[in-house]
Amino acid sequence: MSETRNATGVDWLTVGNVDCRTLKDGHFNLIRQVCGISDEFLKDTFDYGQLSSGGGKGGDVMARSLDGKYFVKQLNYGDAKSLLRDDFLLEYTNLVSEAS
Amino acid sequence: MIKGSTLVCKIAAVFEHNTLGRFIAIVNCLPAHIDTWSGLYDLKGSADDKVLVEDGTKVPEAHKRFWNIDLILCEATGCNKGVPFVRKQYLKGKRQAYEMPIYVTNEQKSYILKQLQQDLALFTRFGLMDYSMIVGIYRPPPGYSQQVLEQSLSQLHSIPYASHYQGDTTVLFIGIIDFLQVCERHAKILFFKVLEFLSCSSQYFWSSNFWHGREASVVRI
Repeated sequence: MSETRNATGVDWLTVGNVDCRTLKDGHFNLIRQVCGISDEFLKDTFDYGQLSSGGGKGGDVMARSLDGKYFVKQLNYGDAKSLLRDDFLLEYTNLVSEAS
Repeated sequence: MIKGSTLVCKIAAVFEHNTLGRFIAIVNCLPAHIDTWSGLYDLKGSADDKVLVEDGTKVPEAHKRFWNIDLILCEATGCNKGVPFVRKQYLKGKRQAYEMPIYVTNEQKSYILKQLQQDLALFTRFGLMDYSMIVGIYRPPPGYSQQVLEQSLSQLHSIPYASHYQGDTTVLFIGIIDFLQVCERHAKILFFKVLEFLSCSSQYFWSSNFWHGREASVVRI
């Protein structure tokens, strides 16, 4: 899948070897940019087979990337509802990006 | 806002896998090049505090479940006869995590508490609760503190705080995780969760408890 970068981030991310559609990437793109994280940060560094509920809260599955720098965690309905609110995302990304 | 500072962990992306659903990619608040931690703690400022790693060894989670009446009685009466070793270790770790001091300098304490206050204000505004503070304590080999600090300075994970106390040099890393749960969700959880609900249903109580718990355990040297 070809990567489409625009002002609102990228439409697709390669995670492991799977192309996945991003959500609200305009906000997270800003965090990646200020932290120096490439858009390919999970390409070939993540194995879905390692997902397990051992470390996640409430049974959500999660796993660490192979380089140990990232955690990938299932986003449950409640967490998605909190995170994907535009007003929260705006404040959250401001806080995190100004800190970096 | 404190320019250039937060303890909140960074979310690098949200994505949707065709069959497995939605995921978030979170930046590890601890540096990946350190693999042996003197202590790794998951703190909430409550009885839910726990030790994840102690002296380089993982402390396995051993929960008490409501259907395990024997275990509950043994623990409640203090006889401990039927309590497995792994559960005793886990419980000991929980008490230790709740009471442990975090050694930092005056300046570091002030800075950390300001960050914490600012981050908690965001959570309070959006009614978020049940977050945890991950604290990683690393003891570098003698003479290697500076090298560890230099290696650990990165935009990715949290800021390292080095301190020296009674001949013991430690490098501390702090991050706040699991901050997306809203308090009303607790009200929808099953009946047997009611007791837990009563102890932390109020989101105000949560941030207040978290704040005071952390303020008390950050020690000046």
